[in-house]
Amino acid sequence: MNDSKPTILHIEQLQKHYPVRGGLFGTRQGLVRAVNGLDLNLRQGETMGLVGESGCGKSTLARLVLGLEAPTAGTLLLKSKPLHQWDQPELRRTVQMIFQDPYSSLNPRWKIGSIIREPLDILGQGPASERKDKAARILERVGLRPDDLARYPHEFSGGQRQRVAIARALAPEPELVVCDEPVSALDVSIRAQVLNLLHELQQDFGLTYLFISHDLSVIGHLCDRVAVMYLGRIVELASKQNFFIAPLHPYARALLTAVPVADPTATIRPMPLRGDLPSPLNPPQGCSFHPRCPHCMEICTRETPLLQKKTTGHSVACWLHQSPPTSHSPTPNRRNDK
Amino acid sequence: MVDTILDIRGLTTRFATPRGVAKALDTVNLTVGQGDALAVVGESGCGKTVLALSILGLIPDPPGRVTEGQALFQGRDLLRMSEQELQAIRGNKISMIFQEPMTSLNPVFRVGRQIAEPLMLHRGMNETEALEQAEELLDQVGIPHPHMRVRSFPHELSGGMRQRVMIAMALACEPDLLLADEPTTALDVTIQAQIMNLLAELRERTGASGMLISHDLGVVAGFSNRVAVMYAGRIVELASTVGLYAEPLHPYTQGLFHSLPRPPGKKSGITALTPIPGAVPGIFDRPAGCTFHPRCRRAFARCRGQEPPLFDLGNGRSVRCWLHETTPPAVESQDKA
Repeated sequence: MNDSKPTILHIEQLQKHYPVRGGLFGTRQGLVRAVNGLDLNLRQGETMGLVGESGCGKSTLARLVLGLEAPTAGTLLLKSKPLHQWDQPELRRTVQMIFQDPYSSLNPRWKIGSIIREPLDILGQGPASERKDKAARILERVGLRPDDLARYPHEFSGGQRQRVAIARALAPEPELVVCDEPVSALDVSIRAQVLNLLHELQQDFGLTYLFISHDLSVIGHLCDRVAVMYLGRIVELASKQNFFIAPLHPYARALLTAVPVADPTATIRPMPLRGDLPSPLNPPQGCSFHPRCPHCMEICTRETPLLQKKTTGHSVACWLHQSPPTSHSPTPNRRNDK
Repeated sequence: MVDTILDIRGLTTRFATPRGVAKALDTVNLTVGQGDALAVVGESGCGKTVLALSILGLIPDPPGRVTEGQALFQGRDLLRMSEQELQAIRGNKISMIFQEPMTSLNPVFRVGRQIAEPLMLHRGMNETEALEQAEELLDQVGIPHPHMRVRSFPHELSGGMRQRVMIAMALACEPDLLLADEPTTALDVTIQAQIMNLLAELRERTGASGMLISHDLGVVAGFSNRVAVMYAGRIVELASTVGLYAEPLHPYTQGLFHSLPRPPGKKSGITALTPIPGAVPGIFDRPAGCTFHPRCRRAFARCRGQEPPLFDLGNGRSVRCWLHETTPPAVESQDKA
């Protein structure tokens, strides 16, 4: 449905490896492959939900998209231009973020007005009086009162603080907003308020969201498409309907099974997944999911499956759903963009 | 009727703060039957955790104090026991699993040693026997290679493994009552599902009664057979789990259900959720009358002036709401008779 919309973010074979240093001379002991060959496309105006367990590299991906970290290898195009070629103010005006914890993401010594105005001041958008007006307008838009500008973060509840964080992110009128677990720290009733607000704002401002969450019910509510991440890679990418009705990857199916259902009469489904996420320091050979996979085959222990289109709007990286390579194994693209 | 293992009557806990005395728990009445699984549901600040800590005598005093009420465990009032008597019960007959497996394990002791501690304390085992038993317990909670893991330190384990260690520790002395305060909140969904399945399985095997404190209506549905919904320090609805989920009666409970995102259907597009307006009032800003009335869509004049009692609707169901006013048999008055 959004197929015609232009691509705002194009990610191809993105890698971010962190060296682990230790020992007497701080020599390199290993490599954490936080993002390890990731492909993803975001279209203008859509909400892409990114799910995965802690440690799968979701937040590292967010930091890469925000330009807070430089990728080790791979392509990251924002509006068709490599991210590292953007100049900082222009990048910050285009991409903004909302963090998980509204208690640590707002400076406790600053008034709400200064917090919301800061990005505008730094980016030098218009004269001071105009910036002040704009801050008041955006604050009202997120459901707070203009006179709250003169108050401090501690005077607000968690849900209100998250509204302030949203106002700050939207003040410079960004096009892409990276939301890293924006409602995870909020209570059920407040979470619903903030989810509604995020959706309204998207409609009003034509925003594109990269929405990171471990909570599939939130993803299912807000997102157009879902990307499932496992140890630094996307293992399934589908429209919301396809994902929730017919997930393909065994890991995606396990995630959906694990979601607790608010219905005491529902039969409790056995959890098909055992064990924890393996360490990204030493990911398993072949498909990184194979040690936990109930359908593991011989090939899974040797070859890494690539993300391939299965049907329209549904891609999966799993040998169950694609034929094994015949002559040679696919070599991942190792272009270095630095 | 099942035997009652825990009978909480009129429990009130206050905290002295620079702004005055705060009533964190207000006349809470609750019973847990033998073999029951009770869930206490509510948002942050509603008093769920204070309830669990009050029962176990773990409220830091000062500033907190249980000022009124009783907590009868197998007929004996926990609140009137000496510290020594309580220590003989905590970790033995009643054990607790806390939310943060990171902070509730001691980082400088090996996990086997920590599981063995209650066994040595309450069961009079020597260290060798207790460590053997600890290994057996680690196996029961599904930790691979238990003979190696008893020698691990907490930092060597993942979050899910640490929570399994906490469960092994809580089960060490085969408790009659297991209190779990948000046991899976810090964990991933896949690990949450494993832990909740494990808890259900262990409860079935040992016949222990359970009390689960949670904000997650999904987790509660899978675990409990009775639910108490708390709001601002009070119980506002008490029902069987099936009854509550089929038809929540209190407007707050209804609001919680309406706030839940529903699994997406075949059609695309996003339907707005119906959240509860406003936020939970601060402990010093609790309104007069029904504490929920400023956020309630169905509030009327009486709600603003007079606090409703917990109306007993029969079938183990009670609601603190004037919309369900029945002739007075409030739980409070019954208990005093």
